[in-house]
Amino acid sequence: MTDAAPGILSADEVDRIRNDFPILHREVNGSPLVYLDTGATSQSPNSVVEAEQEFYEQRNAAVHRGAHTLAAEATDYFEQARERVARFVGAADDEIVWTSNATEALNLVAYSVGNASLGRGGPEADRFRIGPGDEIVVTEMEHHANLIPWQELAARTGATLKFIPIGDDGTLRLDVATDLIGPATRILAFAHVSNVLGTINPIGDLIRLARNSGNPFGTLVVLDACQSAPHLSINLGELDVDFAAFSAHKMLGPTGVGVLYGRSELLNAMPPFLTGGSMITVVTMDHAEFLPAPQRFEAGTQRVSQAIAFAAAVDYLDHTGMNRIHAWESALTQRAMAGLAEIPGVRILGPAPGQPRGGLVAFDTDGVHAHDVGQFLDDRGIAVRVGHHCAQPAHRRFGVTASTRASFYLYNTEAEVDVFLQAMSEVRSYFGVTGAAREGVVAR
Amino acid sequence: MSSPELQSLYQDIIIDAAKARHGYQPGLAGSAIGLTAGAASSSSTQTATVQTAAAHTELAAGGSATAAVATQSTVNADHCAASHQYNPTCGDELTVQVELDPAREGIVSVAWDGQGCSISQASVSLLTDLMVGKPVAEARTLIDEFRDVMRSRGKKELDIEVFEDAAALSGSSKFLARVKCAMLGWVALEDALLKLS
Ligand SMILES: Cc1ncc(COP(=O)(O)O)c(C=O)c1O
Repeated sequence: MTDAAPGILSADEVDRIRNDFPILHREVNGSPLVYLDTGATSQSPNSVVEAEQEFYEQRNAAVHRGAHTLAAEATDYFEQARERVARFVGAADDEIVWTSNATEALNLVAYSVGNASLGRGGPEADRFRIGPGDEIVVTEMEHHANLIPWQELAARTGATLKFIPIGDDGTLRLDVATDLIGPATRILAFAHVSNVLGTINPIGDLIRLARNSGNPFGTLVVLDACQSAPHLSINLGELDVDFAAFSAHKMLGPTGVGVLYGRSELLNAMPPFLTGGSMITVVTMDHAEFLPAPQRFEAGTQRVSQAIAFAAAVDYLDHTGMNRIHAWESALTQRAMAGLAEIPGVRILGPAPGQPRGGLVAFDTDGVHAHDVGQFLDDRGIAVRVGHHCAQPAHRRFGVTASTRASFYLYNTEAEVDVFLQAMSEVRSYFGVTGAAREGVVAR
Repeated sequence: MSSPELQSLYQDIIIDAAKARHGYQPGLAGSAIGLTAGAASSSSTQTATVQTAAAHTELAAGGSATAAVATQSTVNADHCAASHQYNPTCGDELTVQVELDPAREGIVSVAWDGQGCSISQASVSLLTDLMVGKPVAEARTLIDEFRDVMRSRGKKELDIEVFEDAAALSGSSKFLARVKCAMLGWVALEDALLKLS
């Protein structure tokens, strides 16, 4: 892996990349930081931090309001940022709505559909109406952000929530999906890549099922792209999803900004979620007309500096090359999985080694609670995620309440994987547990 | 290879107590919520040593820290109360049941069910050892002192003369993320005692 294949980052290149991330050079508890928690939030290169700083130093102003020079420049930069992020995911500019994060983006869709169901939005919005007898289908591996908004929408409208179960191999039960998705299915919402299992879901098959559901209004396909947009080259237009959500902070960008992608035709027919300033045309004391998308979904003062920094982040990813990043992460993930498989008592959740997988691996350590594993690793400067990773049903499916997750990105090295594996090989004896997993023990 | 701080968090007393689990009684009333419910719940694999409560309180998964008072015939409901506590960050959950003497002045027994990390398990095990036989008023004072030390960010230590083996939990107070784990059982006992006051 050290000799540079054109399709993958080289070790030298990763070293150069690391120089762009000051935080990766700090120490934690006396050891060099080994940051394996990108799945929760990524680190930012200098160019992203500088873009935000430059905005505040040179052109801070409210966008789409006022006629002064700073306001015009800020608006210009803000809209250019939208274009760059749109291009990065294969969307048109007006198909990108800024939100606070992916969670808000998913809620935006759920609440707008709820508003349409209450009769808001006029006849154009009829296609979004949902009620008793209609079904929303999600999967058992969803992050709570792509589950609870649909639970709530179902509760508000009387629709029924159903889910596609996870098979023992960590992939979705497509056989069940085929039976589940039918004329009653109004919405199909699923993660492109699971943040716990790492499973890359068969997006083409699922979209085909939705397109052939036989629902008279068509089935709306909502993609949670939080763990795919940062790691895979994706083209939302070509994928033929209706909506997609992702967050900047998982892809080298700042916190506080995310994206709702929506097909232009749908966004322009959907009633707004948040209302107020900046999203209207004519307002009287008892009525308001709304701007077209994306502005109709961007009420109030926007997160301008974050959007601009987000654009710098996608530039960095683009410049490095998404396919090469994914190949590098995959190699690190397979190395980690191979090492973990050798450690007695460690059980990997999700697809087996060699199967398609995002750049992360979550696992259970027999006899040691994930929280204790995380504490032990942190003592050596290794940052991993422990807990249920906001996906309790996926954990319950595999008989655990919590797991430890290592996730990788373009700035991680083989040496870091080895430091992590060395520490993992010592965890169970540190806590006085040795030997292979006890027969039949799945949970602790 | 491990730092002194880590060693002070995971002293042998802690590791041993997390395994010994004094007072552990699977199938305790009100402990039914279980994030693992439906998969591999601990209660199904263990032989219950207490009678199950007549009223099996079903709580929604992820439910708040609600208590279920045991109502089985062998335990007088007037002298016995339980509290369920849940730590949503890591999914640790614990039900602690306390039984008082007829005058409701002293602790006769402490029993608990639940699962979690070594700190929460060790803490509730050591809590059980410490509290059985203590007057209720003293137990309350101990809980207050324990909380005070836990919130001190490593500045205060538990008095070994007073807290005995549980004094080993002092190390947790340096780790902000672990204070909740260490407190879980103590909060449950405090809440259960409150129901009997
Ligand atoms: C798959 C998935 N969906 C949704 C989210 C929510 O993202 P955010 O918290 O940025 O809204 C996350 C992040 O934790 C995730 O991994």
